[in-house]
Amino acid sequence: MVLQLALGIITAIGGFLDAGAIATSALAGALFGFQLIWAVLLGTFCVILLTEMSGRLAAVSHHTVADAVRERLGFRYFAIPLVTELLQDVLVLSAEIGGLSVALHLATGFDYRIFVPLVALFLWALLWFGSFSLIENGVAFVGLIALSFVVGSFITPPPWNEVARGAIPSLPLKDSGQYWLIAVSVVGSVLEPFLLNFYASGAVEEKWTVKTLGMNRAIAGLGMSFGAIISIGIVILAALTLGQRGIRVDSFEQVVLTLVAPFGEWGLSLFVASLAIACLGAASDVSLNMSYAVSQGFGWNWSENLKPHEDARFACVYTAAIPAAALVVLFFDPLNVTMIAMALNAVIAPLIVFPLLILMNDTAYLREHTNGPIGNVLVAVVIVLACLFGLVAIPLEVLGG
Amino acid sequence: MAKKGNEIHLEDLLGRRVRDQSGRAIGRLEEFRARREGEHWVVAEYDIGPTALLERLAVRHLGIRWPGRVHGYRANWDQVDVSDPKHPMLTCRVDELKKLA
Amino acid sequence: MVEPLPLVRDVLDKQIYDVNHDKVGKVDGIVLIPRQGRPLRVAALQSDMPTAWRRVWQRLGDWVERLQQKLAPDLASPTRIAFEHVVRSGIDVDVDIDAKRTNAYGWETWLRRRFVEKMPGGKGSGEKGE
Repeated sequence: MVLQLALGIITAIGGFLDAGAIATSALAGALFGFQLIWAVLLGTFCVILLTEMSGRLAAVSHHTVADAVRERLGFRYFAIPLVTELLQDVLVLSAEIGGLSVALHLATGFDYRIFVPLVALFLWALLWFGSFSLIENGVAFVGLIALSFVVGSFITPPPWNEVARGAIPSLPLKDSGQYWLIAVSVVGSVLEPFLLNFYASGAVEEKWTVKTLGMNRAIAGLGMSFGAIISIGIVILAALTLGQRGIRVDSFEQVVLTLVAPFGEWGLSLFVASLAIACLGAASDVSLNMSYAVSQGFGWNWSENLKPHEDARFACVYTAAIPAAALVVLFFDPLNVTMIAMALNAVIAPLIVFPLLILMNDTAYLREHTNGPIGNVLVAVVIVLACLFGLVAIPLEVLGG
Repeated sequence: MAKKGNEIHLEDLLGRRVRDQSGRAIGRLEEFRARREGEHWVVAEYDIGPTALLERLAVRHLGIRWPGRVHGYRANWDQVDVSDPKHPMLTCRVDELKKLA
Repeated sequence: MVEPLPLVRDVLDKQIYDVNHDKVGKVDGIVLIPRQGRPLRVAALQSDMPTAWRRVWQRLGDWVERLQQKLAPDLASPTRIAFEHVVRSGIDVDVDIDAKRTNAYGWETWLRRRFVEKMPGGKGSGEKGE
């Protein structure tokens, strides 16, 4: 149980960071110093709440979020979040494939586009041949290298009182359109809608039960919290290295400086490794989630632990999705794709979060483990926030450029 | 596949507005309650209106109620004519229907 | 008297499991038979993509059906399970038949033969790591 808990926390840490978190945190730090740390914390609070609930749903009922949304709200409602989430997942997957390709470009000097088909093929092979635990635990362990952002922020220590002040929401001192867009994107990079069903699917894959509810709370709480610390580390380093030099983040390449400052020439290797592993982990999660969502929505056989021969439809979904996503990033800049994907996360989040308010009170699924009044109030607050962010995300994207 | 000639599909009826004999809408078909009749199951009752929807979503125990006047009815199978699935009609008066609490 | 079975809450859209506890599909539709002067008979569960998508938009379901007929005409009929085979309902629906004896896995088999088995590693069965 302890090993399982440790693995779960490490997986959650590793899963927290991806191209979106790196890009949005770096942009936040570069443009607004420590002022947007509150957005990381807000997103983390929301994701802890919601992943704990989706894990609880899966552990008690052995149904995932996609299962339960379809079953309780009907196919006509389910089709809306299904289609929007699939389109959004393709965009997020493009961002992750792009991020990993950029990491390889940084390591070799070759154009990132050369690596896009290779990355797509490698990702497909990982899912086709790899089991759920290999993908999750293996990638997550290696992904701990991203802790270098946390270590780096102690090597080049910031004014900690200003960092603490950044944890409190504040109004922008300049460029309010851009400030709020990045705030929305930071929250969107943490509260990624695919994460809820993916987490629940993982709980079913790992055969969680009522006895693992405590572990679920620990993984959701501790894992996501540690992941948030890494994101805050990126904000801090970006503020100190990019922000102080007036460098706007126009490409992933500039974000390298965040680790070069504390680690010297090792910084490039650490950044390449962190970006590559974070993106690989996220890419595999998003791809799998697409297969999970479609398979669960239509009641097909599904499991990443089964060979493709046993769940052909499940395997064919990610087999189709990966090249589609790779095509996007061949034609569009990876950083732009990432920022758009993160902002759109905020738009579709309400569609995914709203059903949880109903499901988490359904005794047919949760028996005596339904939400209490405080849990319901918190979910309702998250839904309101998600709606607010969703409403402003598109206009801000246009205005904030 | 195209439906066989004498079939109705429940999902085609679900959510359809039920009208009374004067053409006034009284609510939407939200639930179909089946009973065993020998070796078969039959649709014995229809639940109509938003209260029925709340029941179906399993949220009524949270104390969520539709405010104001009656918003839910339970009709026996012979009180609703579903021969035209797009336009289900009451075959009785509204006050003859059971009100959902 | 036994409580009536709410078909929408406890049957429609639920996961169907067969006698071996294998997933069959979701209940995309429920077939009702009208009878003169008698209540509708609940005839069968229906599971297929066109039925599901027709609930969103009739035309969309028709397109999906036409696509299926183009790809594999002999697979284009829905899976129907007589309602009498339902033994349990709630958040899942259990039926007392073996789904392999129905057409429920037609598309799974088609994809497996057409694509999966032609890929490296596509022929092995069972769990990964075995």
